[in-house]
Amino acid sequence: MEGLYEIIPEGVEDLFYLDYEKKEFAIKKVKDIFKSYGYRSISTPSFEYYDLFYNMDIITDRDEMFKIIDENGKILVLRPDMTIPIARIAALNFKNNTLKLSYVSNVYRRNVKGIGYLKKEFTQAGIEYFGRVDADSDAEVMAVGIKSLIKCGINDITVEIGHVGFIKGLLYTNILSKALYEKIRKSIETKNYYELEKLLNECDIPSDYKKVLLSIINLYGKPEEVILKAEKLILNKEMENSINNLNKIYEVLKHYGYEKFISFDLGLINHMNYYTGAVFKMYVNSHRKEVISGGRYDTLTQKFGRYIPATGFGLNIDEIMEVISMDNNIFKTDYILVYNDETRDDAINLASKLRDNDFIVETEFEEEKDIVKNRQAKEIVYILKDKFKVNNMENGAVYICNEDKFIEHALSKNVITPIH
Amino acid sequence: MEYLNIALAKGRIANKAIKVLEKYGIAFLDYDNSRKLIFEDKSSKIRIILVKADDVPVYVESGAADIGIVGKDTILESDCNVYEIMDLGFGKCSFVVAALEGFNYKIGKKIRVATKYPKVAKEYFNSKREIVEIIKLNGSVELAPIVGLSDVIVDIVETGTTLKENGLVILESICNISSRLIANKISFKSKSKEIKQLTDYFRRMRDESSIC
Repeated sequence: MEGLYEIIPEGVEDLFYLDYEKKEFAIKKVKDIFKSYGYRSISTPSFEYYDLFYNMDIITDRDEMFKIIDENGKILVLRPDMTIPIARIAALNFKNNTLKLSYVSNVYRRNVKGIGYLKKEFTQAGIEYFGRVDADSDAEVMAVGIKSLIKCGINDITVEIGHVGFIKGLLYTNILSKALYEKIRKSIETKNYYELEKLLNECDIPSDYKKVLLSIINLYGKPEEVILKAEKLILNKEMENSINNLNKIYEVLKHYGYEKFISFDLGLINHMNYYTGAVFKMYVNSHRKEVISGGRYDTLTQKFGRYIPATGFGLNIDEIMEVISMDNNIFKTDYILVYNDETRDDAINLASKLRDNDFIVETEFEEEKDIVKNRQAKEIVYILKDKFKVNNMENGAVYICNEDKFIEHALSKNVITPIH
Repeated sequence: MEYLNIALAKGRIANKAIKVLEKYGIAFLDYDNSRKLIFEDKSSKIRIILVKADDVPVYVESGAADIGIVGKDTILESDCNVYEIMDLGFGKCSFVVAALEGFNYKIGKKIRVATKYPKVAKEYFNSKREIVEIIKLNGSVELAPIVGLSDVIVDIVETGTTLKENGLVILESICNISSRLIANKISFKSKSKEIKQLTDYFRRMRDESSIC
């Protein structure tokens, strides 16, 4: 058989330093935001028993999980998402008030269903807010998502909010076969008016319910308008509650100053078995990418023996990396100090001083001069016996100074690379 | 203003769609006899890209195109994550199961099915709890039962002439097919005005049945 030692498997990749440093940078920004709202970071195993995911109404298709058989013949899976392990942690550790958790982890999915180039390993960041049912907690989670994107320099975003309660109120009150229910759900999710009309004609649902189901396809757009339209379509308490809940969440988000990003879509009903309340997706408009997906899932922890209401989201770091534009310069080495036998001590001490001030500093013995010329740094500093010769690589300037002057110049520039 | 990118399946669908767009006042002057794959109308800011039918959902789902026109057969086979916003009413045909005249199912024996649409075929037979072996072919599927490669075929049929000429008969009809307008989920919202205008126009044309 042909050797595959030079080939990387499909769906995974190496990240060379500039790319990986950018990724670390984005992860740090996002983590800082999570932390600033009090979401404490946790870690869970990379693989778990298949049984953990088997009986769940989960987001990942069971066929999409990578499975391994362990030494006892048990089936393990590489974690396909973080929410279920976190729900377990929450059920074990929840006292009686609230629990706010966050993570940044790699997750693994076979991703065979979709189209085009698909990653099989991706980095997901997210938060989960346990113990609260009020609209304020939903709004906070959404606000953290929006702020994370803004902090990464992404402003061209749309936040689409829906509510599965509205459609559950419509569908669950009618007895439908599972197959028909799934077809109706799918045609609403794909805004396929034609197909939905045909399906509804064939099934036994009161005509006022049919009318509202058809209207859902067009219930999207500006929050105020959607609410106004939806209020006229309310047929039962569950639908009324969900519209009130959406309205409240929107009111709270206004206090965060984020109303300009918000739009509603009551046809946003993917993973309806899993979610129980408000759901949302965040897109980067110009790149047509979905970067955040989340919502309320109050029943999940019941699988671990406790009822703890919860809401949260997952943010796809890899998608964000496609969108962020970053100045490569900020990842460059700041100084390369070139020394000779006489100045070795000075150079090593100076380097240490600069590093203490968060600069990236490399030192080179002068014999490597020719190599130094091709190195990437902001400045190359030749340390001679009683003076420094500084070569600025960005504008080509060369100047001579003494050590004190140089340190003053370095510190006053106040350009600290963001890697630290 | 940004261009609205439309992915069209090369061939019949593209020709039809471009004819309809011309009546809308959008002309792609160099379309006829050209081997180009991208055409633009500067005044209306519409750009069409010609791709293979199977690839239309790929372009639209990824956002490389905002909307696309493609047969329902391709949509069913690709299971793409897009909005399917309209039945355009042209390109009508249906998915069928066909076999050589006189063919009978043998109870307890796996049926061999040749098709260009393995997903559609598998789902159809699964839903009927029938056990089948799928043989994926890329064309001339009618040949398979004749040369003994398969027992039946699953294919799209417009008039049935090709089947008849090859001695095949329709055993079962799976579903009807026609051309659909699909949209990228994000473009559908961010370029909603342009897409709505175009959709309304296509709907008027369809309802006047001038394009059927």
